[in-house]
Amino acid sequence: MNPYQILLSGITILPVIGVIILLVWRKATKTQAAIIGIISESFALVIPIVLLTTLRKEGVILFSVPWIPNMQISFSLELSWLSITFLLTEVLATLAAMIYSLGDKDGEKNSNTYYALLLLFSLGMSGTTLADDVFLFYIFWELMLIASVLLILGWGHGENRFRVALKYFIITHLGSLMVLVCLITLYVNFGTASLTELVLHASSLPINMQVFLTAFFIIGFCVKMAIFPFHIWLPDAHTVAPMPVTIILAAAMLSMGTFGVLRFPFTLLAFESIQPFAIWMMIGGLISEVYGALMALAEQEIKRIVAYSSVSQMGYILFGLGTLTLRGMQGAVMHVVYHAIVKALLFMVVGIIIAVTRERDIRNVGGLGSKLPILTVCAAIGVLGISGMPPLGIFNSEWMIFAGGFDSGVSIVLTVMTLIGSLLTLVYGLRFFGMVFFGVQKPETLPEKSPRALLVPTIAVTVFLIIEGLVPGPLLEWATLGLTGIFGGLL
Amino acid sequence: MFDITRFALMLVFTVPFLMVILTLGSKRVSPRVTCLAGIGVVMVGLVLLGVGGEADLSTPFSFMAEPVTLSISNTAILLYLASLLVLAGLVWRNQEADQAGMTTYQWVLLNLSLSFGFIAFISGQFMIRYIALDIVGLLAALTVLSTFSATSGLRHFIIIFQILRLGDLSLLASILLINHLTGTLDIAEMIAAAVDLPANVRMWVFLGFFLAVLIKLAIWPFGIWLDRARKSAPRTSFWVSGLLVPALGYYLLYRIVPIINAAAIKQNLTLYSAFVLALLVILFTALEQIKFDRLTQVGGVMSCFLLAAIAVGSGQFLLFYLLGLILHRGLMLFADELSSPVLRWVRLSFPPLLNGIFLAANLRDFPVAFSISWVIFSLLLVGWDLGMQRKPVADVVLPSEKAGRLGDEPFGGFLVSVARWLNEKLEFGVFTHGLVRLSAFFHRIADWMYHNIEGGMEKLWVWIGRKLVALSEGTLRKVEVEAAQTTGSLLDDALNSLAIYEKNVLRKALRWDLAWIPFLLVVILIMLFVL
Amino acid sequence: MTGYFEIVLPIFILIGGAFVVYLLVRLFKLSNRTESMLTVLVLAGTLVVLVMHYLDVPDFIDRPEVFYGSAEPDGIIYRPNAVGAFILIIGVMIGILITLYSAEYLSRDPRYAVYYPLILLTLAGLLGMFTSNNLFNLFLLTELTTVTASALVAFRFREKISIRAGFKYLIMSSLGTMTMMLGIYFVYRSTGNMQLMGPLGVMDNFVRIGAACFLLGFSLKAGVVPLHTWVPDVYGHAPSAVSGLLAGVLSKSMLFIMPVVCLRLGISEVELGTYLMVFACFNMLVGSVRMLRQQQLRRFLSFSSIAQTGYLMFGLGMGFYYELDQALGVGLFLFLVIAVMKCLAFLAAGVYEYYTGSQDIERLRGVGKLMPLNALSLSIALAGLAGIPLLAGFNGKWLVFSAALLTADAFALACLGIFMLSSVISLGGYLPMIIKQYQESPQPTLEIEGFSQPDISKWMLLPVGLLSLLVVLIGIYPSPWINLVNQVMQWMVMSI
Repeated sequence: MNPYQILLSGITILPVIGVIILLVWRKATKTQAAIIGIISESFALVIPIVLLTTLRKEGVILFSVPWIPNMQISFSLELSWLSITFLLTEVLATLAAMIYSLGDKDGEKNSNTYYALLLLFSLGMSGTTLADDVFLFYIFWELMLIASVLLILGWGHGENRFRVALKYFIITHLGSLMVLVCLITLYVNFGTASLTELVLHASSLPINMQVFLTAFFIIGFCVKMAIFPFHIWLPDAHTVAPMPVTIILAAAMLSMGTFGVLRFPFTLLAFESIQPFAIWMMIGGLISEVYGALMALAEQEIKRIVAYSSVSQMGYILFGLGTLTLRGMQGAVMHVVYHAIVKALLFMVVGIIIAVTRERDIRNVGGLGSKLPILTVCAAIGVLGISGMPPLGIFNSEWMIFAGGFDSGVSIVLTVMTLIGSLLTLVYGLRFFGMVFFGVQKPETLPEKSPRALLVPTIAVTVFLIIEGLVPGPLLEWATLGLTGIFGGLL
Repeated sequence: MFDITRFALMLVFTVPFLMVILTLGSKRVSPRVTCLAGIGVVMVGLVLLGVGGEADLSTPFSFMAEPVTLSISNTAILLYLASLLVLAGLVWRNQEADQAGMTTYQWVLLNLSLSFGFIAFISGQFMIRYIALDIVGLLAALTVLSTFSATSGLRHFIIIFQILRLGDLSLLASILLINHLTGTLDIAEMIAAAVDLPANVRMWVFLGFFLAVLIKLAIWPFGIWLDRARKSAPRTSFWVSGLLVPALGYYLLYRIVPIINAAAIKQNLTLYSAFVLALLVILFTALEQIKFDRLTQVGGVMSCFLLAAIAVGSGQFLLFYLLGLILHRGLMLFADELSSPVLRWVRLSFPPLLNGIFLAANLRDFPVAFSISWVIFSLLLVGWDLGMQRKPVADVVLPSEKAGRLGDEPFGGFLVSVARWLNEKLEFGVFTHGLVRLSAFFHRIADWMYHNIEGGMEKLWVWIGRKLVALSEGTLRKVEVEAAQTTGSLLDDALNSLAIYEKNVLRKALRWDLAWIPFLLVVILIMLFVL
Repeated sequence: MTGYFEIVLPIFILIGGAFVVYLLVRLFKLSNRTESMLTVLVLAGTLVVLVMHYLDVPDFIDRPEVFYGSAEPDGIIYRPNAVGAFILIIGVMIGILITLYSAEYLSRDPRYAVYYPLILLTLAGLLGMFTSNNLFNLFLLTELTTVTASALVAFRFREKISIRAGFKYLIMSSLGTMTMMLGIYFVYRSTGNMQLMGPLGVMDNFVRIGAACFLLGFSLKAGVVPLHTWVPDVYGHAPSAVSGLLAGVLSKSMLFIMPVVCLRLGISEVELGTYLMVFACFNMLVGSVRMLRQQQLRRFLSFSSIAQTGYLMFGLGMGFYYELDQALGVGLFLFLVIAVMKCLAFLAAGVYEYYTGSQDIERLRGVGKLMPLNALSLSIALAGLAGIPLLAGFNGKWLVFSAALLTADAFALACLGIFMLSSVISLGGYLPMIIKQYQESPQPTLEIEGFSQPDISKWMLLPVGLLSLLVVLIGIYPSPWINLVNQVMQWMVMSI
């Protein structure tokens, strides 16, 4: 085992050390707890970057120690080009949320547990992206769910948070169970839990069974992606969760469903078993896109507007995956990253609006433009970004997704509808922006000053969004490497 | 080695940005002067580019793994130069106009649009051009925003931006479709390849481009954005919406002429019908407008002529026609600024002159019927424009008043009665009254069209918007809220009855529990011996 | 009476121990704690013998001559039983823990003297049931466990509801054992033989009717739907420690005796498997649905126990129906983890009851603040039962899934569907229960009543803590446990 492999395990182990410190040192203040959290999380950021050169040389880095030998289950992690894209997105979103939480009012009570859970939430996601073992994958997958449920329960807003958390847990768990059925089917059929080995054999299963597995996998992961009609948990959970958690939920956790689709059915199973679902994924994506946008247009609560826009954006991703073309899937992967940045930005903006006005109903907010010029610029960039305005990032990925739609050769009409449907994003985005920042100022006197601690990470994310949009090269390259790693020359 | 072309490129692209910084940073230099200087430098750069000759340049940059290339064509440079000339004039005139509405923000937008307009003209790669077009559209929409407190500007901004973006998206669809079939993003190659596409795909491609052009040229029924920009934007920065966006539209149309020329009759028919329909609607509806907006109306009509010219399949001298159109738009912009009679007459005579010269130049290629209708429509336009210039039209004189005047003649009798008869039946009945009737008839048509077609289009847009909101609100209520509540209450009901059951179960007598024992025994026996 | 005495040695230790302990306490007026220590000694002795016995299993597993008793046709014979040893080791360990727990739990009750002997006798009966090789003897020992257990259930005789529960248990169990008696009649009528080993003689339909009677009797004692009605009353009102023993070990172990008897008496493996799987579905559904709206904490746990019985039946049923050894192993593993988690849940619930005097879920709202450690333990138990990863329950769930998917048969997959449904529904029960402990109650009843943070006795904390650790340990590192279970599974296959 070379040092790089041991370093790889640090991504999962070092945050755990952070968690332990947080749980032991009970007297830490919120800031101290946050700093411990940020430091241990930043290891998860630094290690993959350090490993980049090795990854470029070797293509994949594996770490494996036996765990439950009599069940052929091992603690094995795999860093590939596909996982590093998702991993970095997730870690960056968590870091942004943690830095944002410094200025946020949530999490002041029991801040140690709060940050420990945030770390565990992030650990669940990094583990999901790295796991090379179906058992391990599922454990991280559930860890992510449980940590977020606990965060909503403990630090959520509103009386109904218990109901919401329960709904979130049960619906998402239903999806997880479907995934679990597939994972165990693979596991029992080949007697191994290692994905590296399953990749070699899984496509030798009977084709009917593979089709069945693909359906279960895709539906299961669609629940996590909050695709219509499995999105019902999302608006409530996003609204109730404390703001940093909302940021992580929207920016990172949703995309784990995308990763799942790429990692399991697309990587393991034969191409022929996925093809029957291509058109349904595209149609599902289209419906989700339009539906989410319509809901965001009608919704009155600020957080829910942005939450529904996630449903819409996940529709693009599913559409991109469904095209089964290189460009469509490149677009989907890139969309995950860009969506994470834009969604983090929008939720940060929403958080500041709520913090400044203490209002959650958009009808009670207005005319903030002249009072909060910097926030207005950030919000404008966020809204333009999500509506696919070039050169902000999402344009790049939408372009690839639509191009993939045409490449798939399924139906020109379907792709054109998706393309024109993206206009709806602009409609609800501008409604949101206009209602908040234009018109007569509401409330007449702002209860709070614009909090600088919240504004700084917001500006940083805005700048990052612009840079990412202008320099899409590395991301495109990673997405390409990751996808060719899966499909080889098939696309 | 000093490459004049590259130098000029750098100059044209970067100077507007420098001007933006200067406008924002320096309080002492008037932004008007800065902008003028910027325009001057850009024009010089464009001339230098033109001197360097037409070329396809590759750049060291690439975007999304697609190389960024530039294609410098004289057409683009000429069109852009013409537009800039108008802008320079406008900015120059702005001195006296007390800089109405021209805040620093507007100057920044204007400067930015110089740079992005340039890229939209000369980019050789369609995606970069698309990006520039999109940004120019955003800038055009932004010009109507002035304050945060007024929501009317915001509404206009939203409508303008959404419609322009609709055009851009349809353009994107066409680009991606061609790209899918040819694998290239180079404009020249794409256009060349699009000619050979299968007919149904070419139809889609054509429709996408066509919609984009219609929107950019603000041809009916997509003209409402231009009206709104006209109403809300300051005059000087209206240049972006009123001239730059249409100029880009003209150029786009010019580039896709090969696709149209290679097209089936269906596409030409589409163009024709768009031409005739739009022309008639604009002509008629303008009759009824209280405040006649010449720029949008006449500009729209002239764009329709362009569509017709392209539909008939002539590419000859098209460039000059385009230049003429841009200058015409510029003239109309100026005519609003100055009320000089000379300018008015020039403006009035410009369209027939342009159309006449173009017809004369293409007389051999145009079919006869087309030439005749071209002339008729041109004359119609002139008459209409003239009539509009005299608006409001004089009131019609009633017959009874005239009759009284005629009865005073000394030679009464027959002559008088003949004259009266002639006067009543011919002069009055046919000429005066008939014309009035005819005019009233036209006005009725115009009125109907204004309210039902043009206004109807306006209503349609609003209706679409309202329906969209209503649909989304209805769905939200029905599907998201009510369905959730219904399932929630159903679940609650079920759980409550469960709770009641659980309470009652505590009081249940033991014998019922015991009764299950023989029951299960029977079940087991059936399982063992029957099944 | 000849043969290998060590086979019955544990039974002797337990029964003898029960009398000795009782006499000592009566004679010397020993305190509750002392008595519990004495009981622990007895149980520890039993455990040592059992473990030695267990270690010897490889030697005797394929030797029919290893027995204790008289070898005559109607003689009473005790044979070593590997599965029984495994189950009893778990049972005795849990017995030790609940005895320690009772050292505090019973300290307010003056009648502790009979309590411990009753536990010892119950365990002795259970052990006897596994080793006894004679149907009539089996019946007697079943009655022994029934009577002692119902005495334990009705231990708080001043509470009317406890009496009712004990009475219900006694009546229903007696009817069950009476049916077994009827079964003995049918078997003996046809074969004239009551031995579980050796040639049986005639195998006619009467024997199968007898087998059906035994099936019914064991089903009742295991709490198979629709004969589950005694379960909530009994577990809900017996002393908490007893509930832990009954729910965790005693009732579920019946499912392991059931096949031994029934397969011997002419029920085929497929029939038994069908029965188990079909009724497993009922159990899973009834248990998880009725769990949702319970007001009493232990009643809630009882219904979850019914669902767990269903899971266990599902695993075993697959093992018989498809002759899938792996699924039998799943059954054994589930038995282990359910015993640990269920016992933990009941003990933790008992701590609440002991200190607050209430097991009303609404009144216990927000109790996590007052007793954080206990709340954590109960949460671990419930989360484990709900199948949250890294806890013991999840590994059980994983194994059940593996076994069902390995069969790749519609019947098993349909049952798996029910299993998934049940596990999702039961989440709706477990999660709110976990949450409510930490929820700030709108009416903090406990605080209004001037209830202050209690010092939880170490006697209670030790078993609760140990079991919590065990739940986490099995969850994180299941390897040794799975090895153990696989070994037992092989013996089980050999002996059936």
